[in-house]
This record gives sequence, structure tokens and C-alpha cells, in this order.
Amino acid sequence: MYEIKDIFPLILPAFFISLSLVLIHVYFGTKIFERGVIFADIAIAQSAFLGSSIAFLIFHDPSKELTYLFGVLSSIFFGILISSQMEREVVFKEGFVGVIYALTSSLSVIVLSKLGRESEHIRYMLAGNILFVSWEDVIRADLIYFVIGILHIIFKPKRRSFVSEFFFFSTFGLVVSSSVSLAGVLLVFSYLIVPVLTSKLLFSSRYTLLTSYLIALISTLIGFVLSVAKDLPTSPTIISVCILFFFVALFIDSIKNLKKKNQELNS
Amino acid sequence: MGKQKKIISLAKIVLLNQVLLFLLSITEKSSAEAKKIKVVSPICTFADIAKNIGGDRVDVINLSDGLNDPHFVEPRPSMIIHMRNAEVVIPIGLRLDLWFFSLIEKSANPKIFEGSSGFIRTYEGVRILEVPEYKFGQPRIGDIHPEGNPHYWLPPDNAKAIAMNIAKKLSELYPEDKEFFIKNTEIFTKKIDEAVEDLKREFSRFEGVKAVQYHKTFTYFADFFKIKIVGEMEPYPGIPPTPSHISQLAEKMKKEGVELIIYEPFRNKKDVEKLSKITSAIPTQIYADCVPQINELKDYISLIRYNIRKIILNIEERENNKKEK
Ligand SMILES: [Zn+2]
Repeated sequence: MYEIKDIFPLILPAFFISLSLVLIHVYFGTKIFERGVIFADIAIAQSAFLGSSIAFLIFHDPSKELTYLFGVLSSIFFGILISSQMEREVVFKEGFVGVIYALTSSLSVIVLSKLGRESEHIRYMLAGNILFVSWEDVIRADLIYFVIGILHIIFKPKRRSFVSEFFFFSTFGLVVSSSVSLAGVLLVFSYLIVPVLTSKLLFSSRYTLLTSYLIALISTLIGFVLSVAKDLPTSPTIISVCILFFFVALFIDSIKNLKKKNQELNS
Repeated sequence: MGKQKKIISLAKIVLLNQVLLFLLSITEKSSAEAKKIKVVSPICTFADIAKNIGGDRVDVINLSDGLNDPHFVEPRPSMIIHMRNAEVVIPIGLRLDLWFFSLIEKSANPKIFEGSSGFIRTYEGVRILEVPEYKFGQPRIGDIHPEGNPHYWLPPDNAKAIAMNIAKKLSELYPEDKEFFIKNTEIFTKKIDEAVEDLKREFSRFEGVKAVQYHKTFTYFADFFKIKIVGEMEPYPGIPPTPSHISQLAEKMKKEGVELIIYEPFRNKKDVEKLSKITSAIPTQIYADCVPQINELKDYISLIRYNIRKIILNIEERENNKKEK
């Protein structure tokens, strides 16, 4: 039907962008995990979505850049709200993030109903597909990720404050808005959450970042090869491999726990 | 020793010869294949029409079929390759197959870009229904059909127009085969006419039957075969049914005596069955595109035959149910 060498140059940008996505999202994923607010991923992405739909409400046919700008502004705004509450206890934080998610979701529904459009359709329009990523997209996204990465290295806060949290969540919003428009919501969420969870199950927390990176990279590689060899949709294949690893880790962890319990019972 | 060497070198020559012959056969084969015009279509129906027009001069690939919603197709790596190698594309247009246009863009194949020689304006000469009039400052409703109803290919008249557009484009690109394409178009048109004559006769007793459709997929088809569409289960194209809309629709259906709910295989069956229960209209799953691997749906003509016969079958079933009661 076709040869792998034909397809390779065509999907190379997709491959590069997924490597960049791994680099930036796994990092943010571990930081979000440290804060105990995994829901923040979805809440921030939802607020970016809300912003973009507001762009549709104000302008009839907003340009890509305009929808992106509105998405970023909205995610920064809700990022500030979330960061203002980060010094509270974990249960409250997670609850608060949940409230923000519910708020941005229902506001989106209201905005969309004013537009007379279906959210899935807008989501489809706003969310990109990794196969369609061009070299220009790769360069633009890498520039954004690079600058944000450097900023995070320079301004490494000694302890968390409102300013540090504001910085964290606004840069996070910037990254998520851009990556969702390139690779779609599902892949972005998977990179943020799944590798970190897998690593937490298997490895000591000293190596969380490193092992999460490894897990994400291996999943991406296998996902790409499978997608090309078996002609499967690329993002869903990567996501499935990622989650497969998670379940394998879960299985290993459960066996470990069982053994531990048995030993405790025996002794 | 010397003899052995000779044998080895002889074997080398023979082997080299074999390899060369093999390579030659590959290149010959691929040049024979390259002679065929590579056509890529988003749906099975356009592919079938193109095969009828192009005959053995074309090599047609369809990227989706009647089992999938043509609005949303998940792109796969092979699709980009097909686009890269394509000489002619037959898009649906009217913002229905945005994914197909993304693939065209991604292919970086200038032959098939919009406006290039390999890009067919498939719906030229087709009268597009439900073109919305936008007034400045008003929100646009139902944006999934922003340029009018894009599901235009089912009625025979439009299929013939599409065939003409494909024949015209192929003749422009390959003038040496113009007569062949025109002759094939005539044969195909005749085949459609014969099939439609039979179907019209079979259906004549049922003309004017009232139906509700899930999405505005069968508007053109119903128009042609004189099926009266009373409404859609979606409040706006692309927006899933809401309870209030369904209850209003059910009232209307009861009042008007709607007999059928027509929908495609990928729609939410539960919604259809619920509505059927309140209204006693019969759920009738038909197809908006052919499906190559299902024999009774394998091409365009089989497709419309299947749809009409399925509708007749379900109306008769409803009549029998009534008699039994
Ligand atoms: Zn439609």
C-alpha cells in the first residue's frame, strides 16, 4: 500500500512536536502533581476553551491568533484565581480547582448556547490534530516552550508564594492553550497526567521527573511506530500506549502490595 | 581452485543478472501503474462515480464510507501518503469535509490545492439547499452547515452532475482520453436512469410518506423520491437532540402522522428508539454513502436501491402492525 520511508518525512514534524510536548508537559505535570491539584490541568484547559469561545461570540469568524489570544487571557485570569488559593490545604485546593472547572465549563455552555453551536464542533475546530502539524508550528511552539522553560529555570522560587503561583499558572495556561490548538485536548492531558502517575507507582519520588520523561518518550516512540506500521490515528495510539504502561504499572504495584500484606500477615 | 573461482564468478554474474532483471521488473511495473490517474475521494460515492467515469484509466481511493460520519473523520498516516501521490481530488466542499481539506494542505502537493488543475469543484451545477442568509450582527446558527446543506450527492440528478464534473476535469487533464470519459459518463448516466426508473415505480405507492431525519443528511434524497421530511432530531445541524426539542418534535410527528425516523448507522440509536416509542414511527437505518465491503451497499446505485427498499419494507411493516391491532 505504501512504504514507511515515504511516510517518514511527512510525519517528522508531528514526531518533533510530540517530543517538545513531552518535554514541557511532563514537567508541568510533575509540578501540578506536587501541588496536589491534578484537576488544574483540565480546569486551565477548560478556561482556555472558554476564552476561545468568547472570541467566537464577539467576532464572527475570529482568526487563529485571536482565538489563541482570548484563550491565553482567559486561562491566565483563571490561573490567577487558582494560584490565589494555593496556600490552603490540599482538600480545599482540589475542591477549589473543581469549582473553577465547573464554572468555566458551565460558562462555556452558556456562551455556546448563545452561539447556537455545539461544543463538540467548536472543540473540533479549536483542537488540532498532531498529523497536520507543520514545521512552522513546530518552531513557533518550541520558541514558546523554550522561553517558558528558561523562565522556569531562572525564577525557581525557594518557596511558594502568590507571585510564584501566579507565574506558574499563567505560564501553564500559555503552554496548554498553544499545545491544545496543535495536538488536541486528549494528547495534552495524557502527557500531563499519565506518565507522572505511572512513575509514582513504580519509582521513588526522587526520580519522578526523569522516569516520567522516560515513560512518556518510550510511549511516544512506540505509539508513532505502531501508528505508521498499522495505519492507526496517531494521537489515540500514543495515548493508548501511555495508558497501557500505566495499567502495567498498576498491576505490578498491586502485586507488590499483596506481597507486602502477606508478609505482614505471616510475621 | 581456478575452476571453483570461475564457478563463483559465473554465479555472481547470474545473480547480478537476476537482481537487475528484478529491479527492471519493479520499475516497469511501477511505470505501468503510474500511467493510471491517481484519484482520492473523501467518500465512497464519489469514488464509485469516478471509477465509472475513469474506468481502467484511474486508480481511485476513498478515505471514508457509509459507516462513518463524513463531517468528522480521524486522519491516519496513510491518508497523507494518498494525498501526496494524488493527481485529482474530489472534495465534498461546503465546509463538510474540513478534514479532507486539512489533508490536502498537509500533503504539500500543489497539483491538488484548491484552484489547481487536480481540484474538482464537485458540486458545480448542483442546486444547494438551505443556504443561510447571514445578517451582520446576528449570531450564526448551526455552523456545521454554514454554506448550505452539504449532503448533496444522494439524488440521481446530482450524482449525474457530479459525474459530469469529474468527466470534465479528467478530460481537461487527459484530453487524449476525452472520448473514453464522455462515453463512460453516458453509460453511467444510463445505468442510473434505468435503476431509478425501477425504484420510482416500486416507490410510487409510497410517495408523500412523512419522515423525520436525525441530521439533515437525507434532505436532497427525500426531495427527489417525494418523501416529506417533517423535521430533524437535531435542533440545529450538528447539535445533539435536546429533551425540549424532541418533545416538540414528537407532538408535531403525532399530529402529522409521521411514519419513519431515518438515520445513519453512526447516530445515537437510543435517541431514535426513544422517539419511536412515543410516536410509533419506525426507526429506519439507511446509509448516506456506499460501503465497499458490504455487497448490497457496494456502490452508488446499490446504495440508493438499498435505501428505497429499506424504506418500503419498513412502511409495509408498519401497515401490517396496524392491521394486526
Ligand atoms: Zn451535515
